[in-house]
Amino acid sequence: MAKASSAKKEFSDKIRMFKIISSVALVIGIIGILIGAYSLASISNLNLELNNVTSIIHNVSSSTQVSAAQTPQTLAGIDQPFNETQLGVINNAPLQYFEKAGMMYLNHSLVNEVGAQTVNVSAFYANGKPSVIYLGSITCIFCGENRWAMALALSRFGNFTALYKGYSSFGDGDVPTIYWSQDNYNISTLDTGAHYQSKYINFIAFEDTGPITGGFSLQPLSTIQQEVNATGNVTYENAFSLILKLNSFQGTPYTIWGDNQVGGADAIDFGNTTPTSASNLEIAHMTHAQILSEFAAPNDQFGWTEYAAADLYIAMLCPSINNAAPVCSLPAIKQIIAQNHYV
Amino acid sequence: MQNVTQMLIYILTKPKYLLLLIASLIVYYIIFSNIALSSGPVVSQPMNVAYLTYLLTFTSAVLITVTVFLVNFNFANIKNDIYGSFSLVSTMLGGIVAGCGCQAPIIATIMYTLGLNTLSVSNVLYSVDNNQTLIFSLLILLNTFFIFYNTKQISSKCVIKNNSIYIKKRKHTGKK
Repeated sequence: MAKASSAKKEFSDKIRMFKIISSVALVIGIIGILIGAYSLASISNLNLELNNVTSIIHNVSSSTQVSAAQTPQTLAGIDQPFNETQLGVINNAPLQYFEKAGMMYLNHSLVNEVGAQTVNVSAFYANGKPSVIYLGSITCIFCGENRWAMALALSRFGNFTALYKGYSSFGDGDVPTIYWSQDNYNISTLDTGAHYQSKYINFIAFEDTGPITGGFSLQPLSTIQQEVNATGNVTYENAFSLILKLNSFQGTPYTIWGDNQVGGADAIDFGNTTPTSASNLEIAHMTHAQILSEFAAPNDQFGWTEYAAADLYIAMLCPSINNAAPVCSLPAIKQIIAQNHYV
Repeated sequence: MQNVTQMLIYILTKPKYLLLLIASLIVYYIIFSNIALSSGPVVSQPMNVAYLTYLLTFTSAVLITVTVFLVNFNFANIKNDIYGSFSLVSTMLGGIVAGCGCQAPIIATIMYTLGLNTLSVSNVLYSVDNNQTLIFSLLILLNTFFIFYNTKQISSKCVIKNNSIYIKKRKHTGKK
């Protein structure tokens, strides 16, 4: 009787142990499936192979060790306006570059990730024109990368009378980028607007600023809303209200291109290979002049990826202006519109 | 306290449980990094959060190892099981917090699903992003408390002699 009781107890202990281990394994499995499903649907989830232990550990280990020795920290020329030649690289980018990059995107010959999940929304109109709305932070690394593609895309629908040299924050890659206006890079505030003119669209830019020598920072949207309302600009107030109303903000950069809302950057282009950490970004070792020379004569993955990322934004925008701009007639743009079902 | 420490060292130096500790460390680190990197392939963290990341993963691994030991010797009650399960919860939460940067899709999605609006979600993201160190520290403290609690449970029922573990005999009161 005692033996049977002891055996029964031992069996129930083993069952209990099995249940605990099974529960833990099930939870891990569900998490893995969810993350795997998310990664299939989003460009922002890269190299997440659960069986690639070494690479994942290395990726996160090196990305958590941002140091001056690995990432050069510079603010050289911050807030300096682009000169005419530099502006010309953006404003006068040849259509053939957009076409070639678009084809590279369509036939999957780009190494870097290009793609975006979009949500269909009602375009924001002001002055009888649809709008591109941007909400970002100068401290944010993905905003920093994304502004290059945005500038190239917007240049197909109008032109910039001024752009400024900028950087993401020291704690977020310190990547060379564009500022839409001369931003306050030492304090937390909001800068709005851009030196941009177009007969097709409005470009409505909200740029949150923070101390550039720190890390990523973004004021709460309630604070930003107060700052927007303080400008007294009704168009900007209404555009910001639209962002709040859509209930889909998940971080920066956040853009709306005509009828297409995009949460995040539409590409991950920090060099000629996909980055695995903030401490090995090729772009962080480049100057603005070097980056612009890549766009003036693209001949590597970095340059072509940026044009391809611009193509996606162009493709999102063209339907809202009934393809009126010449760039909308490019075969690659038409194919991207069709493939991605942009409206 | 000395008994608890001795018991903890005893458990973690046993080959079987040392292997379990190492395996748990790897698994939890993978879970943590997968969740953190789901916000983007580039994660920048200040150095203090980086070390807290490693400490969180380590305490989670120790906690699950101690809990398995408890269960193995049939000393565990439901509280011990729950505390042990927290090792996974704290790792996941740590990953979510660590991944809160330019983009925070996991937290944002959960908040929107719960019915919060954009302004509220933004406030949550702001709070999490600005309190990463505090949140990590709390998770580590909780892990440490649960490790202590579960290990104390073992040391109250066992004694270590000559590098072996013996179950303490119950005192019989003589009553039938």
